[in-house]
Amino acid sequence: MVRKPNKTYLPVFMALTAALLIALVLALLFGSASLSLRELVVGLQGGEDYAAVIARYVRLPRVAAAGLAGVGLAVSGTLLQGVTDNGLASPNIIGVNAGAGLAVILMLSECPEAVNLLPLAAFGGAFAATLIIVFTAGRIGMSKTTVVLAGMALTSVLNAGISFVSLLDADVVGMYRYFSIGTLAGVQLKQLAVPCGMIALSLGLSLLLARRMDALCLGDAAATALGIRVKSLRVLCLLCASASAAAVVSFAGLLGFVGLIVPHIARRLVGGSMGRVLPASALAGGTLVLLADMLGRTFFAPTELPVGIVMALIGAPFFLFLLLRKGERHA
Amino acid sequence: MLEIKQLSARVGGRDFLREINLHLPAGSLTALVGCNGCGKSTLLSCIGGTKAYRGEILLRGEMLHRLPLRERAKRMALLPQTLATPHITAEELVQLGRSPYVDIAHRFTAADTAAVHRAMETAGVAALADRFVDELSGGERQRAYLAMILAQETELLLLDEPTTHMDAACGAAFLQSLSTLRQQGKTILVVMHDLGEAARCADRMAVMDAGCVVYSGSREECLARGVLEQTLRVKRYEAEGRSFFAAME
Repeated sequence: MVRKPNKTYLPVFMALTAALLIALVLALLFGSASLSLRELVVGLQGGEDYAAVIARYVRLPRVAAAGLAGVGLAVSGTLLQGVTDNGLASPNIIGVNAGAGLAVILMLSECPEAVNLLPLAAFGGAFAATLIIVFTAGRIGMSKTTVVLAGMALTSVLNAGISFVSLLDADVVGMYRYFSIGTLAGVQLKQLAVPCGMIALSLGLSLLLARRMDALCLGDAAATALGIRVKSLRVLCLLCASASAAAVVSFAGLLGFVGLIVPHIARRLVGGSMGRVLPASALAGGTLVLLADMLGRTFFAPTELPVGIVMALIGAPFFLFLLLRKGERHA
Repeated sequence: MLEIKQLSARVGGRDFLREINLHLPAGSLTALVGCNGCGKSTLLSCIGGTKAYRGEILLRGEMLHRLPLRERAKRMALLPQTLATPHITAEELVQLGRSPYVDIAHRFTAADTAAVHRAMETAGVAALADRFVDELSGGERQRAYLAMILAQETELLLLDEPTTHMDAACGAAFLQSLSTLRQQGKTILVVMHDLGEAARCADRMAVMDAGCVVYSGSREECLARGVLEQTLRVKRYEAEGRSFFAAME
């Protein structure tokens, strides 16, 4: 029997890549001070005039950070939704954001002079929270539900800690609020090297494990019967997800909604196979944050709207849309 | 092929399965029947390695729990009672059946691809290759899952109520394909609720009651001794050379 060839997703990936490139150029061109294409090209190559300084020292780091944040959070969300089989899972559900938040507010309260160490503290807090989740869930059974419930419990405890510190030391609340909204203002290229490496490593490892993750979606019993070490695979994926999100938290703060909504968009475009969803999410996530950051810089220029607020404005309605659709399906 | 000796398992703090002994000869199709909650699915979970047990399960003389996970998956395939319906194509689902054979990056050799195509042809889902699993009908989906475990190319197949979501015709066709697989040399253990279908398609019966296997042997002997009637409190009718069962009033 002659079988139809496999459905190809090449046009979708080409469109996503083109969208990312267009978003990249737009984000480089537009901001509180817009540049012409010629000024941008010349400025990126060298020179110390006004346009060149903006292009090289302000716009380029900012755009690189936005793209990286989008990729990292989207990859993290995709992995979490995959291993927990829960479409509402995102980096903050496993305590990544709350862990980073507690570490940052403690640092602001106890060592306010060490502002340069805040990214490191954020990363450490986020990663430590994930290790606690992995350890706790591993002790109980590492099932999909256990991971989600353990994450929610830890998030509550960490949020209580944040509230407690902010009650004790009211001076840190202002600075913490800025971190908790999520912003890319003032990011420098040298800050991005380590996060970039971590996100690339997480994405690479996740792509390697992508097909095994598809088997996880069949349920633990079926995956075990296929010869897959369910517990180890879930731990590995959780570590990749948290490393990726923690890397973003270290330079962008608690940027929400990207990890929640982008995997849904990607699945609609390329189906549910992780081998396609992961790269599609990475491309779509980068595009979304680039555009959100550009809008935040241009809408009320010269005043800047943090990217976290723009993402919340886009993400919250989308989240409600998801809930409504879920409700309709159950009805 | 598969030998279960003195198997016991606990559920909710009590002995749920008690001293089960069961032998599946190579090339047999055994229907595992019993009332709801008698322990059929739990027994399959023990064999599948997802439930702890005491006792021995031997696969071709080797202790099952000592076999590495991938090695076990090359010898025994399991289709659980409830499976999620991922948003992947039927072909991608069947490809997962090659998981025990491929490397960590899931790279396929020509032999893997051929095994996938063979399994799809055998299960009759070749035409559904590009359809998403969550968009298939219950019967088509179950056939796609059957193709997935066939792609594992194991000697032993364990199926837990595979015809639950199928209409009568679909279910009969599915069981017919199991009979064909048995004739091709596969050893099959299938949990079933429809006693009439079980009596028609299986050549051996295993009857469970309250966590124990009360009968295991040939279908003919099972029917001749009236094991099903006594254990499951059903009445048997014969028509057109076939057995039908109905609950006793």
